[in-house]
Amino acid sequence: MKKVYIYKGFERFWHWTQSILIFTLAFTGFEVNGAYEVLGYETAVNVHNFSAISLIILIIFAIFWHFTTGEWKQYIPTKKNMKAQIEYYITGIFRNAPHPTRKTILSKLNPLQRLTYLALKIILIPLMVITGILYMLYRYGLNGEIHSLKIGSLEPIAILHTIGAFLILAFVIAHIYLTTTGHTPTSNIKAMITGWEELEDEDDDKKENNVNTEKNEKNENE
Amino acid sequence: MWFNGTADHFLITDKIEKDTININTLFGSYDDPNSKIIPIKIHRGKQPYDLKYKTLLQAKLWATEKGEGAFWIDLNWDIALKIGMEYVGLPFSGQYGFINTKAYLPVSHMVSKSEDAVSCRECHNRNNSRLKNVPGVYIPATSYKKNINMAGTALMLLSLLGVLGHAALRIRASYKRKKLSI
Repeated sequence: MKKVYIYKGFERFWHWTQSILIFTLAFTGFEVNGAYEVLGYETAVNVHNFSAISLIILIIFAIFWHFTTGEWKQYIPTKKNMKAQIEYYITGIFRNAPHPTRKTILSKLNPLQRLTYLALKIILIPLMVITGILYMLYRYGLNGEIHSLKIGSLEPIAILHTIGAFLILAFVIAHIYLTTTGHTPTSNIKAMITGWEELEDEDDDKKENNVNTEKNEKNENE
Repeated sequence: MWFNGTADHFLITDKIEKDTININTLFGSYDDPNSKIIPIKIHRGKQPYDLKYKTLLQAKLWATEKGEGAFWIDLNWDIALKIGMEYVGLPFSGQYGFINTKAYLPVSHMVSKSEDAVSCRECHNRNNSRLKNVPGVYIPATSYKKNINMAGTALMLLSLLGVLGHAALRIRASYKRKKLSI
């Protein structure tokens, strides 16, 4: 195992700022949706709008970063080890089996993660941003003004936006839990805070294959 | 109600066809880009109408002296209606009844102070919105889609149960492993 600097400054800044913004958006968004009353309707709307713009700005920076650093390649989907990865979460993890995919700086995501995060990046988040912007721009009763789009009704926009919000919330629950499936339950979150993670290297792979034979030798000698 | 600034009026020559007539009709709808929601008072009354010609009748209402047939002074419908219809030059059969009427009056006085202005929540709440009877319009927090919110909440609860269950199994498996290795 070696300590590796796997999450650099901007990546961690992006991750945590985004999570704070998404939490704020969800909290205020569901108040606008009518689920509860905490901040007051006007405050909820204003905070939601401000956070939404902030998130869009952050996303623009993040997209730029993904391309200039080549990090976009982390999300290329692959079928290699996909089955093994699924089996790990369903059965292997309970037997303390080793992770089927090794995490490296160039490949930080296992096949399931790649798929999930890619779907988030190109389907779910764009859905929320686009419906959110349309929601913001929608004006009742204006006729062909340039700064607003004339859409028949707010209802389909609002419905899609609400469905997306629930999906993101479900993702967040799973995501937070799955961070505990690292080498230790806290190794992943520590890595996302400090940037450093103890990762298996090739020597570890070899060692694991030898572990059983060493044990057998020891038993025989005793 | 929705109002785009134009309205129809029930004229004294119009034929009465149903029990309650609208003295005026305010035009407008949700889909009409020129319409806005305005507060109104519905003024309900009973007006005299001609049983034979099925038209509203105009009574003479006011005079400075008694004996001139004005309804507000002499309090006699027969005379007031006869004189009134002669004055406007329209036929009167002599037989009249009273019909229910409604007039839609845009509220232009009795406007409240700014401190009493409605808060956002008065329209944007789930159960008791001021606008809950306004047709056609989607109002956030009011036009609450029960199915979607129930499905979404169910999804979240299932996710939560799923991860808690998964975690519990992991903890149990780890505990069993520890027991076995002692």
